[in-house]
Amino acid sequence: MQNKRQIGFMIAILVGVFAGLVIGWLLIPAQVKNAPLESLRGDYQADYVLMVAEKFAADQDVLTATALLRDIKPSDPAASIKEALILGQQLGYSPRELQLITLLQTAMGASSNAAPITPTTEVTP
Amino acid sequence: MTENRGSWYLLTGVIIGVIIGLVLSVTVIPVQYINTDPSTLSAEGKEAYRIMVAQAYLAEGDGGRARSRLALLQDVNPAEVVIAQAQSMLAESGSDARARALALLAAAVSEPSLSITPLPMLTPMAVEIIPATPEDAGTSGAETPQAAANTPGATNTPRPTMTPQPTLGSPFVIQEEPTIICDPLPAVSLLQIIVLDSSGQAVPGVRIEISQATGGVETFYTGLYPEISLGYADYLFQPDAVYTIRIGESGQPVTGLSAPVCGNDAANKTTYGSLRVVFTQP
Repeated sequence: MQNKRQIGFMIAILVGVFAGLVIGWLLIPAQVKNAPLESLRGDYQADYVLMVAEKFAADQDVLTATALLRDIKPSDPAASIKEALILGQQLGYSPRELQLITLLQTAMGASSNAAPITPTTEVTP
Repeated sequence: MTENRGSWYLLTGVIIGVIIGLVLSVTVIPVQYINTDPSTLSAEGKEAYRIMVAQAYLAEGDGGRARSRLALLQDVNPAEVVIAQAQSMLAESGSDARARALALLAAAVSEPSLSITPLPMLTPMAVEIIPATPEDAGTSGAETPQAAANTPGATNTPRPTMTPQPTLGSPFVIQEEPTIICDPLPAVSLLQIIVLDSSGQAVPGVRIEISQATGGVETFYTGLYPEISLGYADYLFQPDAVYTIRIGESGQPVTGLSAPVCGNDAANKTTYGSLRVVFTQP
């Protein structure tokens, strides 16, 4: 009898934990805040890539561009460019903007073929 | 004697479990958010985003788009936030280039009519491009990221016509003898610098280098006080120190600047005023 009660108590706790997680995750989730850059929605990430491409067009700094792209796609910065190109076409980016992104992609590809890109922070002038 | 406690222990277990579950969902294993918008970024994320907006603005000179991008962060007063970030960056001896970009972005936010000359493009632009297709990019249709849906996304802002900004050109030179400000006596003694172009327009984002005879060089930028003037910058004078300043990259150094003595106060201590120096392009 005592064992039965203990087992029932443990099961009740497990059911409660499950219910608590469901409530915490789905019903009353915490307010979205302190999100990292990599959590940005695809179109925002595409715009971020465009900003990096615009900066790159002016300074030709592949290492910094790679580091900046790593902020939104830590595992594979180059993939963020591909996704930006696809989304850019869907969202109606101008040919010039798509070209800027393509040039960044080309430069990063050339750079990675030439030598491994080391993640870096800001390269100060 | 038989104890009959009913089934309340089950309810107790459930309540304890729910509390544990809630605590876990908030602290240990919180919800991992994806597809967020820039306004939900952490403070560091927002700072990085502002810097990116500023650097893109510097490269493209598109104020309208920069303001649209900045608005995504939903700051109450974007210009003030950008200025504060630039000042903080300069105080922490951060990147000069980034601080300058932020100063110019703040000026663009405060003064929508402002236009700057975009940085020259080092990348040769082809006339025709062949944009990548999903197949080229190696991403299947199922993996295609979602397009902007319910919430406003990063949209393409029409590009305004860019007019050249006269930051590049003749070096800035001192316009007239510095003005001494003693009446009313300022609370702090400042070196006030105003930078104008050849047509008399205030110029933001101009680099000012200040050094003392005893050593040490500091850098700051115009445009961080748009409520005064886009071409305004100031520096806190140290009494009895003599400074040399240089405006822009090619300006001639102006030497012998120091806090002007305005007399003595009631306690017979020397009081110092401010000095206003106007620079212009010939």
